[in-house]
Amino acid sequence: MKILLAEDDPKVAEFVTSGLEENGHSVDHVSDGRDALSYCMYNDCDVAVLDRMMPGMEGLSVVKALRAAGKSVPVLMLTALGDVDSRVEGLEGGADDYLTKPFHFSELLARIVSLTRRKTETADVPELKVHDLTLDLLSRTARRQGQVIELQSKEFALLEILMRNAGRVVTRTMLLERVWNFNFEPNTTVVETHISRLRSKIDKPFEVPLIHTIRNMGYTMHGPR
Amino acid sequence: MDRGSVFSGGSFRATLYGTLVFILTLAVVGVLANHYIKTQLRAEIRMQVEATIADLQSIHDIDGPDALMAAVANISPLYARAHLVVALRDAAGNTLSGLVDAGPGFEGWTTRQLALPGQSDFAGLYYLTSVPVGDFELIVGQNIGIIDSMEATTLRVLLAVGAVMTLVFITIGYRMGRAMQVKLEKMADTLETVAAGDTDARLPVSAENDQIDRVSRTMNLHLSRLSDLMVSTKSSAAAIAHDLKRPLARSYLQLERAIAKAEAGADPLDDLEETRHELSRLSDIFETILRIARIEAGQAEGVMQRVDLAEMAADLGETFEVVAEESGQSLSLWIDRGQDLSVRGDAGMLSQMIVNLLQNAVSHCPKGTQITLGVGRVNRRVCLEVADNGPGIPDTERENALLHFFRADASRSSDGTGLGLALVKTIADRHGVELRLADNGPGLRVTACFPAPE
Repeated sequence: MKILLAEDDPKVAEFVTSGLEENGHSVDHVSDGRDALSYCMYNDCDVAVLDRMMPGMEGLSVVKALRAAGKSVPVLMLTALGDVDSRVEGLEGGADDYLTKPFHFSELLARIVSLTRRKTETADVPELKVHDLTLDLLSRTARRQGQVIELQSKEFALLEILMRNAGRVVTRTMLLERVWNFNFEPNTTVVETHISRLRSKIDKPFEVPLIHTIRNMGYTMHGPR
Repeated sequence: MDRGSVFSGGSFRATLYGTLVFILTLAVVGVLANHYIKTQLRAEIRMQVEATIADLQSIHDIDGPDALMAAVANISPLYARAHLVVALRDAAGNTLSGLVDAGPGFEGWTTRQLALPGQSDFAGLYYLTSVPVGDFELIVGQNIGIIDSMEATTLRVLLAVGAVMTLVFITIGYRMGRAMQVKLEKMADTLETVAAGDTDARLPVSAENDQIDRVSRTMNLHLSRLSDLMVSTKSSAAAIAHDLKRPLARSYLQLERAIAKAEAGADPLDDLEETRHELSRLSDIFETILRIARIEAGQAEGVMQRVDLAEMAADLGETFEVVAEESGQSLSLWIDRGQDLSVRGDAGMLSQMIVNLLQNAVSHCPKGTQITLGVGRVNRRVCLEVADNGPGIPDTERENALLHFFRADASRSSDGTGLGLALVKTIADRHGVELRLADNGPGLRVTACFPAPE
């Protein structure tokens, strides 16, 4: 995957670049907002990671200019700590996702991967499937091996996101944002307890577990490999 | 104290103007009174003199000219003692009877300086008139030196009164100015003391309750608020430093141990992960502090909109039912569905407020605790309540619970940031919500009441 990283802190840029390259992606790095804009106008990339505060041009202005020019490249915006509320601003400005500094690299990676996928999955599928588990999005029912599994609304939302990202890591923060709409760190075990509930319903009664914990990263769903 | 600043002070100047006005009034009143008294006295004299003339006239008419001569000769020494002059002259102007030479002839009323040899008492200014009586010229007059001396006395009295009053006024003005000056200087001193760091210093308030006292009272109120703020800022700064130091110190040590392990060829992964956990915690604390600061500064306001608190509570209640159950506790939800329970607010903030309250209950209560989340109306106000039957917070500490970094367990061994309730309080304040912590007998009951709709 080809990724543009626009970040003016050389240390952060170096870490992120090497991390992404180790994960098999190619990274182009710029440290100025205007460079980021012209790069995206004349080059193709799969994801653009833009820092909100950059010399030359603010990350938000870059996204707005890109969207105005009809460029639909997925954008992940990075923002300073404590700036939870500019998240809304960023998303309204055309960014696809938002991440607060300092972040765990795994979190960044998971979000980048999830972004590229989101573009292709926008097509409304009526049903999601992982191994022998199916989730009917219209009748809102889960079935495994033909057995209907009763799910609470939050459990259903959780499972839907995990299944939509099957094979990829979904982080705890991503789940907090997407299932509960919490754009803050709630210091709770909400995610863990709900995952445990979900497991007891869709994994425990069956032989093959589908939900897997990736230590220090998050959760992923896949069938036997 | 600087005398110059007393004299230039407002109250002294006001007294000075007052004194000037008083003296002017006194002078005008004096002149008018003097004129009036003089006119009155002259009229009085005329009446007396005319009565005497009428008496003498009737003696002449009844008893003849000789009787008049004799009468004048008889009464004039007596009259002299009463400062009256009586004289009878012939047509040629020679004094025939009486004690005085009235000088050249005249008609009507005049004022003349008269003297009587051997009788110094008699000498003086006389107001006199001459009337023809038969072949004589009768002259009768009254000494008006008394009017002059009275005028002089009046003037002296007025001058004396003016001088004394001016002195009194200036003294009062000076003293008042001085008192005010002293108060103002004390005020300046106190403010300087406060500026120098002694936030307990307060302006003196006297029983006089003058403007300065009233201003002082208002300023003292502001000073109290300021010092409260400074104290809380100081204590939260200290608490922040303390709470940041712990994870910092821990991660530092763990990192050193990881390095040592790596150098010794051992696996440092566990220590590195611990370090990361501590740093995450540090980042969470920073995040919360910044969030509180932004909300307090009013920068974090999203869109204030109608938020259905019943729906939000039901949603979060469903989520935390699971969390509570996993901790061996139970959460029950109570929502007064018959009513409109929507409030104006920032949905993100309100959701965080409820999450923090619920998480606080879950984190600080043991297994078996029953937690309730309720939403309803109390006297037109929409109120939200999170109650538990856990250990609660002692009466004495309940008030502190809303401060930054408070923890009921002084050991600070629990894993929270100590900022959960502080953030709740900040969000509540931002929404005009009245937040109350009460004893649930046993346990803690937190009530958040939204302002009544207009």
